[in-house]
Amino acid sequence: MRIGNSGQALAEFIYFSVCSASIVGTAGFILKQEWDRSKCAYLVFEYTHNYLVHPDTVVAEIPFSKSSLRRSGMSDFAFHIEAHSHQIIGTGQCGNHIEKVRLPMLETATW
Amino acid sequence: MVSNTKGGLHVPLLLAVFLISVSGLRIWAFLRNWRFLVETQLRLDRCVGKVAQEFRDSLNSIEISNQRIKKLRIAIEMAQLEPGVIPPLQAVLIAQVTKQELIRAKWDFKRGYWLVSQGCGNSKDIAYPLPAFKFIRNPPDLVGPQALIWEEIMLEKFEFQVSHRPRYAAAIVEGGLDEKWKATWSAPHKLSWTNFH
Repeated sequence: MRIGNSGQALAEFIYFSVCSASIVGTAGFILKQEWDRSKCAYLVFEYTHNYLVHPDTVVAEIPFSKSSLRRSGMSDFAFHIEAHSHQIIGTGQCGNHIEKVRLPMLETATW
Repeated sequence: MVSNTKGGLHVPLLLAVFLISVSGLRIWAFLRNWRFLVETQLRLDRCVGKVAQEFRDSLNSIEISNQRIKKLRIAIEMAQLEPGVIPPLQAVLIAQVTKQELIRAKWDFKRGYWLVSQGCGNSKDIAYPLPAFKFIRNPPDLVGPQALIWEEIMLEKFEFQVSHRPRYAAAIVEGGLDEKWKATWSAPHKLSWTNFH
């Protein structure tokens, strides 16, 4: 009986394809998590800073529209601002991630 | 001919490495850009904030010194019957005047340095000139040196701004002669209606 190696190659191809897909999937998942976390931190900073400069502006409308948030996969982004006499605290939630940014009012800021 | 199937195993792995690398580089580029934006914003905020606070403190110090000078001059005028107390009062008066002159000189130096260093020290920054102290002091009379007065009608607010595309930081110092000057963050100003002369 003559043993061919084409079946072996196909089996290995499938095996390694599954392995590769798993690696790509896992890496993609980790990258997505880190991406969401970083983007959340950036969004919270931008929203908080905008509120610092434009305290009368409607928070939900700045600085990114809802449609742009939806496009970038941040449609569930929720933002809350607390204004104190010496600082403002912006809290953003993107899925499971919660980011908090504190920015000082100029009158009380120290560097 | 013997076909070699070993290379076939490497194709999916190479594809996986390629996809991960490209995705990683793209994400890294985005993260780097966000970091740059946040760092630039914080740097500009810090720079503008510090100079606005310094201007506020200088104005408040001059206002307080002015009040003291006026009171000292009244005290010296009223002390004519007791000439012994006049020299120490005049010494305090001169000390207050010297303090004001030092504050003015320091601010003038700061304005010059601000222009030379383009505000926050980065060549791509666009810094508006700092406002000038337009105080003048009338010549001393028999009582001694006089308080500072603003050359013309004093502005209600002074503006500070530095930009570094696409970011900017702006602040205003506002108040009045009767109350203390306060510094606050603000939206960007247009050069046409600012106090830069």
